[in-house]
Amino acid sequence: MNFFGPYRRSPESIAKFGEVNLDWGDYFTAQGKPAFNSEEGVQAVQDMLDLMQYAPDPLGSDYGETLEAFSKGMVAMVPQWTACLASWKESPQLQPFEEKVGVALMPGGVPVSGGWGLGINASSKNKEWAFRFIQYATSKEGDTIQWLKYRIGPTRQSVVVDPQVVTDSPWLQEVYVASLNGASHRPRIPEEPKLEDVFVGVLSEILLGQQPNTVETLNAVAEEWERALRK
Amino acid sequence: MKARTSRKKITGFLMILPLLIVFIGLTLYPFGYMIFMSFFRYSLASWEKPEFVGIDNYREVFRDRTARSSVDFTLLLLVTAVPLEILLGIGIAFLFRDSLGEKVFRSVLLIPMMVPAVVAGIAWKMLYNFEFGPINYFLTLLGGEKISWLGTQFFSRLGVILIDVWQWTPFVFLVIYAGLQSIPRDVVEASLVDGARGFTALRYVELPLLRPLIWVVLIIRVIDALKLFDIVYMVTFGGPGSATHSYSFYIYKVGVSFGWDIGYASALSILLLIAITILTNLLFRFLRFRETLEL
Amino acid sequence: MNWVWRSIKGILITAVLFFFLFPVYWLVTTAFKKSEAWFSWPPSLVVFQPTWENFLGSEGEFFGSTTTAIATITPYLRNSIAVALCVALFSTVIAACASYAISRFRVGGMGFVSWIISIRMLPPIASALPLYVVFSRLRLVNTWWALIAAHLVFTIPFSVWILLTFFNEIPRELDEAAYVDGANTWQTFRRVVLPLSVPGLAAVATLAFIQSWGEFLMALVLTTGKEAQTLPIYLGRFITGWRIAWGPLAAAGLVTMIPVILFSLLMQRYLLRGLTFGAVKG
Repeated sequence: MNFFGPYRRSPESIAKFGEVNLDWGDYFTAQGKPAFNSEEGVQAVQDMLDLMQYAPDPLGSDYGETLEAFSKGMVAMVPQWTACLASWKESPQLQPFEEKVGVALMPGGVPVSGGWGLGINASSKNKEWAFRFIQYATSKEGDTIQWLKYRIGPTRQSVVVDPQVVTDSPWLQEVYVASLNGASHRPRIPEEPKLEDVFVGVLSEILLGQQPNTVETLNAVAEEWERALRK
Repeated sequence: MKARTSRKKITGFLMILPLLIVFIGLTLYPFGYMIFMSFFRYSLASWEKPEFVGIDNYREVFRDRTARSSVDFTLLLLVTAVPLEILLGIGIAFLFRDSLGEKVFRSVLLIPMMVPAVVAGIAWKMLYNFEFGPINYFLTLLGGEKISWLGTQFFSRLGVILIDVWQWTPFVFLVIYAGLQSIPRDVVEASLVDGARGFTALRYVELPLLRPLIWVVLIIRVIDALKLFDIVYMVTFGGPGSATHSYSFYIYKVGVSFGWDIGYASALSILLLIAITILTNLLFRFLRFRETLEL
Repeated sequence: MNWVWRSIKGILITAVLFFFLFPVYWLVTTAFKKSEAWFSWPPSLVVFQPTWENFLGSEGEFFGSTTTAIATITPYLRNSIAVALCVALFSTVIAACASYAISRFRVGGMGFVSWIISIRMLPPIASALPLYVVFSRLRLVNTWWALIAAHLVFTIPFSVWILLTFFNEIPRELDEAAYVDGANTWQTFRRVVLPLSVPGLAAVATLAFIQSWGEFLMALVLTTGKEAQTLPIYLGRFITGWRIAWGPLAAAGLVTMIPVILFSLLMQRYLLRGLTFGAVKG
C-alpha cells in the first residue's frame, strides 16, 4: 500500500485509473476494478523487493517484532503507526529519545491511513453512557489526552494546532497533516479481509522468489479478487 | 426374571440419556446444520439471508489456491511429522528402557505433551526469533548462519513440524513404553535362550508384539495432525503467505476472519470430516474392543 | 565395548531431554527476567537476578498495569477455574452413568462405543462454527455455559474410556450380591460400584479439568470478553500494537501451565488409557 500508493496517485495513473474512490481504496480504479495488476503494480512490488535486503528478517517478523527491532536500535527506520512512539520512549536503547528518534513523512508521501471506529452495540445495556463516552473520547479534550499520553493520532485539526500539543511535539503539524493529506486507503468493503489474504499470499510468494514479479502474476490475484467480489 | 431384564434395560437407557442429550445437541445438530449450510451462500457478517447455491461451495474448494496450499501443508505434516514422531517415540522408548532414572524421564517427557499448545507456542516463537532467539544463537556458536525460521516457506514449515514433533513424540513414547512394560519378561527371555541376541530379539519378538499398538498410535496421530490449529495460530499465523496454513487454520480464517463465511467454511469442514471418518473407521479395526471392554 | 555403548546412550538421553525440556525451561526463565533480558544478544540462558516484576508489575512506568504484569489475570483465572470445574463435574457424572450402563448392560453395544470414540475424533474447528451460530441465537456466546457445553463434547468420550476399563475391573459378583440383598440398579451403582471406583472418578475429573483448562480454539471462537474468556485467550493480551510483552506473557503462560503439569503428573497412569481408548492399560 505504502508502495503502490505513490504510483496510484501520480498524475499519469489518475488519468489511467481515474480518481481514488474512498470506499474502494487505492487498489481499485474509479470503476471498482483492480488497478494493481499493471506496470505500476509490478514497480511497487519491485520497490519492496529492492528494500528487502535492508530488513533483518523481512518475511519472518510479525508486527510486534518489527516494533522490537526498532526499539532495540537494530534498524534505522520503520514505517509505523503513531502509538508505538509512546512505548519506544521507554526503551533504554533509544535514549535520549528526543535526539535519537524523529518522525518523517513516508517516502513517496502516500502512507496508509488507518483508523478506529467507536460504535454502540444494539443490545448494549448502557447506550446513554456509551454515547457519552464516545462523545468524550472524540472531543477535543479526549483527543488531546490520547495524543499526549498514548500517542494515538489526533482526529481533530484543532488538536494538531493546539499550543500544548505544538510544544509537546513540534513536528506533528507538518508531518501528520501531510500524511493525512496524502493518505492512501484500504478498501472499506466487507470482503476486505478475504482480498487482503489472497494478496498477501501471492505477494509473499513473489517476495520469497517463488513466483515472478510480473503483470501476469498480479493478474491472477486480480482474478481471485473479482471472483471474491462477485460472490 | 424377564421383568427384571426389561427394567434393567430401562435403567441402562436412562443412564446413557444425559450423554445422548449432550452429544445429540452438541454434535449431531451442529453437523446437520453444517451439511445443510454447505449448500448455501451465507455469511454472518452480512445482512443477506442464506441463498441456495448447490455445490458451488464444494467446487470453490478445488479452485481455491489457499485451500490447496493448506491441504499441501497438512499432507506434508502427515508424511513428515507423524512418521518422525513414531520412529523417535519408539527409539526413545527403547533408549530409556532399563536406564537409570527411567521413571523420572517418563514423567518429565509428559510435560511437552501436556503444556497447553498456546503456551508452548509462545515459547517456540521466542526460540525461533531471528535476531535474539536461542536457536539461532546455538547455530552461530556452532559456526552456522542465522536462519530466518519464520520467514521462508521451507523453514517455517520445518518449524511447525518440529514443534509438532516436540509436542507429540512423548505421546508415542509413553504408549510404546507402556506397551513394552506389558510384554511378559519370559517371552523375551525365552527368545534369548533360543539364541536370539539383543537386536534380533527386539526385531523379531518385541516389535511384532507392539505392532497393534503402533497402529493405534499412528492413526490417532494422523487424525490429530489433521486438526492442527493452536500452534499455527500462535507461532506463524499461517505465514509467510500461506506457507503454514494448516487445513483447520484455513477453516478458521474462512469461518471467522473473512467475515464469518459460514457456507464455505462448512463445505471445507465437511471434507475434513469425511477424511476423519474414514481414518476413524480404520482405527476401529486395530482397537481390540472386545478384549478391552470384555463385551 | 560396554562403556562405549553406555556413553553413547548417556549422550543420547541427554540430547533427548534437552530437546524436550529446553522450550519449557526458556518459558519459565523468561517469566522471571527483567524486560531488558527478554531478548538480548547473546540470549540470557541463565537468570542471575530473578524478578517478580512480570507477575506483580513494575512501578510508575508508562504502561500502567495493562501489559506490564499479570495483575489483570483475575477475571480470566476465575473463568478458567469455573469452566474447568464445571466441565470436570458434569463430564464425570455423565460419563460415569454411561460407562456403567455400557459395562453392565451393554447398552448400544459396539456401535455405541464406536460412536463415542468417533466423537473424540471430531475436529473442533468443524463444531466451533455451528456451535457459535447456535449459541449466538440462544444469546449464550461469551458465557461460561457455551464454553462448558463445547468442552464437554471432547472430555466425555475420553472419560468414558477410562471409566469403562475401570468398571470392567470391578467384579460383577459384587453387583450380583447387592441385587440379592434387594438393591436396585441405581442403588448398586451408587453404593457399591462408585465407592470402589473413586480413584478412577478422580482421575477422570482431573483430566477433564486439564483438557478444559488448556483448550484454545473453542474459547477463541465462543468467547469475546473478560466475562468468559479463559487463560489461553488472556495470553493474547500481551501482544499489542505497542509491543510484545514477552515477560508477562511468559508469566501468564506459566500460570496457565502449572496446574496442568501438576495434575497430569499425578494422573499419568490413567491419561494414557483415555488417550488410546484403553489400548494401553498404563
